[in-house]
Amino acid sequence: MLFNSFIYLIFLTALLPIFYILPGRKSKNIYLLISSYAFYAYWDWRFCGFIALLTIINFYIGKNLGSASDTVIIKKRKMLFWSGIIFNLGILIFFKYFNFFIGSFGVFFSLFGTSTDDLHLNLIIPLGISFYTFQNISYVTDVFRKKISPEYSLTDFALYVSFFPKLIAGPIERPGNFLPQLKKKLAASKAQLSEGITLIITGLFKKIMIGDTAGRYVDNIFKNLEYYSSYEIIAALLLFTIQIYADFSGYTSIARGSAKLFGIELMKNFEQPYFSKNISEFWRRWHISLSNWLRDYLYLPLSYSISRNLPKEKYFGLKSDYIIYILSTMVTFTLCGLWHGASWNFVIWGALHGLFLTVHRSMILNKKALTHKAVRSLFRFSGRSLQSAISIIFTFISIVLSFIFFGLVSLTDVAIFFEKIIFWENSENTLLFTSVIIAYGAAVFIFDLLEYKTGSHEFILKIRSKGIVWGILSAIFFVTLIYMFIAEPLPFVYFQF
Amino acid sequence: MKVLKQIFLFLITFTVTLLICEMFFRTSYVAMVSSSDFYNDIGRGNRSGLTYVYFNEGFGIGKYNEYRYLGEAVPPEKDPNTLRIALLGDSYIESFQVFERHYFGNIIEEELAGRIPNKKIEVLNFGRSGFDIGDVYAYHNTFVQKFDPDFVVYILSNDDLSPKNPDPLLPKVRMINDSLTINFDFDAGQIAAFEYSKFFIHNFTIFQIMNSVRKKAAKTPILPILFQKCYDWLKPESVEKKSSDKKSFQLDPITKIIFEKLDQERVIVVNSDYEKFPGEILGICLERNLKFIDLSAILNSYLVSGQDLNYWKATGRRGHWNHKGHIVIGKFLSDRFHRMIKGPE
Repeated sequence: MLFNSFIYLIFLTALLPIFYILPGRKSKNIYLLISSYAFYAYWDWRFCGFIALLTIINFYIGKNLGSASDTVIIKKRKMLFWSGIIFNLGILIFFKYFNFFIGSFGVFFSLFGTSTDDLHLNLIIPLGISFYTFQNISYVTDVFRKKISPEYSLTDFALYVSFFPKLIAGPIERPGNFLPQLKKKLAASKAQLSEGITLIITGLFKKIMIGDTAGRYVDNIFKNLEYYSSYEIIAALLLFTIQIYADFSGYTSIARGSAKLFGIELMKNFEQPYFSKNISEFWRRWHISLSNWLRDYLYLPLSYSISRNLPKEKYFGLKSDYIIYILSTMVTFTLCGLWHGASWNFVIWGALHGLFLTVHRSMILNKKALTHKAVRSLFRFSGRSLQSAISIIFTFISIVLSFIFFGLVSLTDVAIFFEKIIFWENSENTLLFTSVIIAYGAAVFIFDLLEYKTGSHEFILKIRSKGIVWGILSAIFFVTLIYMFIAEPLPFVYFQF
Repeated sequence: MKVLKQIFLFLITFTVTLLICEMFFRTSYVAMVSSSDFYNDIGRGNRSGLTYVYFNEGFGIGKYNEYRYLGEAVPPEKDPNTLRIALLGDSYIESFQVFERHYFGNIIEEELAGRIPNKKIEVLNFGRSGFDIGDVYAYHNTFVQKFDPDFVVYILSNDDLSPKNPDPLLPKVRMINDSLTINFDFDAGQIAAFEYSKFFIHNFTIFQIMNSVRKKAAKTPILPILFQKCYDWLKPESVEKKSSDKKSFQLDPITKIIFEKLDQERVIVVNSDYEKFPGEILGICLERNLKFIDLSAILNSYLVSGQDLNYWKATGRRGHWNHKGHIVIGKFLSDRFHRMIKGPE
């Protein structure tokens, strides 16, 4: 069930009273686990068997890794760890990328007159597989690295994997953050309850009133590029930038808010990403749970591995440290792109971000050279705030440009996009589209500014008067609900990943 | 006192927040204010001067001009060297799914202008959602004829062939003593209710959304909307939809007289459906030598070749004609119109 549907609100409201009636820690956890499986089964009951199987296998791998630590030789531990990683990645690759690779190899094989069409499989990709597989990898790795001790309660571990607010699109929780919370009897504090309700209401508003409504422009234009003029296409790209953020940050707010109602804290996924002054900062603010995951489980191990094998010399005039950075970043972000979807568009999007990051790194390394004369004279009379504004705008433009590859379905569409930009066509609707962009941009900007200034996603609660707080929340909940009633609920953009 | 203060603050903030939302909705076109108004000469009509952005299976941007129809404003007075074609019909003709530049009427205008260079061609969009044969006839005779069109095109589907539009604020075609009259006796209560709500739905999108909620709740059961799949699992057998057999066509006496009264010189009847018109209607057209164009063959030929002219990629839904549909139909109709204008060679 979608978070932005009445059935989810009914489901959530129905769960709470029973949850708070249940006496013990264990019974509450079991209840949440059953509810999570019911939530998953609502889409397709077969998914439950699949996730249960993954849970049991990872649970036993973790358990064996824990018990093997003292008695069994390191080699055996490593074997267990790698079998866990290969198993989880294998499942992910099989379901998500099998057809993509077959299709891509098919182009190559077709040169020799061989067809790979028969190898295509009609697979139903289990929803959220990318998210919970990454959580399983986190668990196996952290137990192997002895960062956490293995979980001995199958119920708690299963709840870690399948907890319904984060099941479909994250945040990708770390076992070290989530599992300890299950060891106490779950109950939300008064503050958590009001924070939870606030997050759900603001999240629904962001998702439904900003994300979905902006998405209507985007979908119609991006899927019929040939019929729209250059300015309309650029407007759609800007609106996509707003849509994807409002959609995903709205989703995360609802997820975090729902979890808070049960006394569980989920990590933040977004911290005003479009206020970033550079691309590195952007990745510290955008889809934080994924970028942290990639840093800890892919980028850093890869960097260590390369640095061990690369003698400290200069290559093509570049220091080995920088070479390591380039290689690790490019690999990490290309795979990050591929994680988002089995399509070359996503691969290019990831690689582009890898490229942006390496360029940014080189700018930091050569700061002196870059701030030399011309740049310094440009900023000589400007204050720090102007420099920040220019950096934010420049970073934002880079992000928007990269979204060309993220928002468009195929490389053919990307080609049409650039063709439309090169051979400019005027639009009779320029003013209207400008008004639309400003309205959506202002809505997102105000939300982010308030979050930034107050340092809180529940900024409304900072207002002292309860009358004002509930006045604001009731009004935005009211408009969201009436709009929800007349509009079709749209899935979250990140559900496809 | 403290509680009263909080209630007061709540009400003030609630209202201010709604107004801020309203401002956002208006500028981003999240929702539209009501596009209909009441006029003594035509009953419910389009609001002049309103720019609209509609999302349905497609996405349309356009404007109701000062003369209360869609598209570029062309006044009723006509230049002698102008060939004016009025398109009448339902939402297919109104075409809220595409921009004005993609509209088949504009394609007809461009195509004809290329073929008849010595004349100024004007194709006017008088389409109205939900209109059937009775509404089209009434609209033609009470409003469209003021524009003195050279050709009036009735674009109809099989569903539009019986006058059944329940809108109480539209004039009704009645048969009195074997002759057709257009009845303007609207229910005073309905007019009063419309005038009363007009201020809210004309000025606030939020009230218009609430109005849509009210209409949807009256038209469709609420439980499936609230409970979605769960409703399907739990609903009693009796609620399940029974397969509805298509009723056989019965020629309405009003429809018959309308077709018998249509001006052979000026009116062109177009079947916009995938299915042919019933034999009774085709018989009258043939008997009266009415100009008739059937789109069913071309629509079906595209469908058979795998190009569904009613399928919308962006929403994955079937509905009104898509962009390609407008191009195909625009070109096809302009070709037929050209032949009719030129006359037999």
